[in-house]
Amino acid sequence: MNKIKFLLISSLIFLSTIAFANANEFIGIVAVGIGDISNQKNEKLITGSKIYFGDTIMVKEKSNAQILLLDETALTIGEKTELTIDDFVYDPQTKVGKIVSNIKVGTVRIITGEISKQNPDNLEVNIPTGSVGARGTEFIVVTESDEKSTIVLLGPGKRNTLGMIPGTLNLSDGLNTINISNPGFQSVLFK
Amino acid sequence: MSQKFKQLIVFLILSIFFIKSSVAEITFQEILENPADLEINLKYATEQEALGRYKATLSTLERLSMLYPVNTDIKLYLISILLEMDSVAKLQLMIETMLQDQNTSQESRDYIAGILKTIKQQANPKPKWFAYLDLNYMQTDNSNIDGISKSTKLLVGGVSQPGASNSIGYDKTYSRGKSLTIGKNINETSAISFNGGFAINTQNKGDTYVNDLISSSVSYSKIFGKHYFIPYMFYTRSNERSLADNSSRGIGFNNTYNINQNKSISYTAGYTQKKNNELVSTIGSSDLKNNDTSSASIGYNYTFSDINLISSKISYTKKDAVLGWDSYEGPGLNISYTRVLPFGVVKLDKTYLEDNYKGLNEIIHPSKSREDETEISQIQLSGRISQVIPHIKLLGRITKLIPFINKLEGDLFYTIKHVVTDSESTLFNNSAIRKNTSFSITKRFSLTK
Repeated sequence: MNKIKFLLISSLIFLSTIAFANANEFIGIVAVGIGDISNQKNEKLITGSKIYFGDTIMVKEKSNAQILLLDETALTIGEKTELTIDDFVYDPQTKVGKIVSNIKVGTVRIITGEISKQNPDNLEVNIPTGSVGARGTEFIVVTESDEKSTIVLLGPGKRNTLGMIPGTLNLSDGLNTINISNPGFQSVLFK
Repeated sequence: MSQKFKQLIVFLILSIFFIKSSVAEITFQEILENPADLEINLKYATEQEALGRYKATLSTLERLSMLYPVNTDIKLYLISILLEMDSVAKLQLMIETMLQDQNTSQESRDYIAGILKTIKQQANPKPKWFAYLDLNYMQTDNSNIDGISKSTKLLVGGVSQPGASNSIGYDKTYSRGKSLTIGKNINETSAISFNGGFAINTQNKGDTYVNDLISSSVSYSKIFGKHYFIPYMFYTRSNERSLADNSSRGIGFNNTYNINQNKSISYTAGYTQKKNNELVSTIGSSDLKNNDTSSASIGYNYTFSDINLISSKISYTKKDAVLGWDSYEGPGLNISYTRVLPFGVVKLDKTYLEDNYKGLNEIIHPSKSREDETEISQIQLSGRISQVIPHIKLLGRITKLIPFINKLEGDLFYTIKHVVTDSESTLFNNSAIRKNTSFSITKRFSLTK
């Protein structure tokens, strides 16, 4: 029994160490911070401020920001927006990882980075009405309330002259799934 | 493989590495440390664009646009990227915002008007069918049309003899041709086209190059993401005045893989079968010259500053002829530089070929086999006549040809080319220098809207 207790206590200490390490992990920066921007600790964020694993970023009225994550995913955040990076794992050598972000309210434009390039399933954007998966693209999420979100695919389009693979969005409301593959097309998810 | 050939390949590889290493200087780590530095970020944007990492360019330009909202150049750069990315919805939003901004200069508004015109053109679907007729005239000055050897002598049975007295050095050739192309755009990424042509070729003094030529071809093009596939097949038939009539048929492909906007890899392969009509001459039946030729190449193309293109290509050719001594195989190397100028496109091209012949031609030498090294240097200028009209209007005024010159607009193309072919062979019969200067003009009549 003592052995079991020892193992349990060791495991708990080990797991808490991991959680502690993750909570302090630097995952990106505020590449642009204009106006009133803060995190969950109510610390003011400015251009150049660091973003850590699990941070919630709050962009107030008449403010906007661009968050640049280590895999070069860029999140342009509009006013009155609240966003959390729930999960971020990235290996710069293999460029493999996973991003899960949660948009509680507001407008976020996302340009996907290396993680999505390696495996599109590893970028997940959760919104109150469902979730968005993206393949090599730029898209915008407007969450008006817990009841309604609008998602617009921006590009690249099929007629791009750069040899880029056209972007695709995969939207789910938990029950149904829909794809958007034409830039300019949008879908509204209701609860 | 000769020393010269090896040196050229080493030069080619070094050039590619130099081009590759010359584009990436700013790292992403530097951007994380200096996200608001205009100079560093702008340089990063252009470098990432050159590397084909357009999303990094896009996010950098968006950041700069937020940080420096009155800088119109950043916005115009961003617009140009969005246009190429076919991100129409975002592009239109940006354009509307810029047009409403009172700080936007007239120059920027003109640029935006051009972009709106491009978007409108892109919105129009491609016509299903296309057809055009080309009328072509070409004149070539040949310094050594019969390939008189550098020594002016000939080997016969391994013994040096004076060259043939009836060989022609300088001569002119003329070609008048017409060709009809009909094609169909199957969908946005594929098309098929058929071409049929007829040309009459004449020569001033001799008759070696006097013939009528019928040609036909079918090609199909398909885009798969970054890949362009163009398979083709062709058939030509010549009606010769002094030689045996012959026909050629072949298949092949010219494919390209676009690494990014500036860099691409092209690779080709082809197979041609040539048959001569039986015609007995002093050296035997002409159908003994029937042959099959296979060739393949791989090349690298690099565009910089939008108006310069450097291309390099390594090839291998194998010819199997009925007569063993007419069969050869060997590698080739080609390097070219192309630049767009106001009056046309200039191209400098250098090709180096090594051909190792298989059997002995005992009529020429009983024991020595033939190995050729050929260096081809070429300079070419081509374009539309309308591009040079501003430069020749003065001439029109002097010669009172202004009304005629003013009519030379639209689809009238010109090509001026000078080619020097220097062959060095183990059998000096085949060591020769040929210099050709040609001028051609083509009028294209579009038969569809």
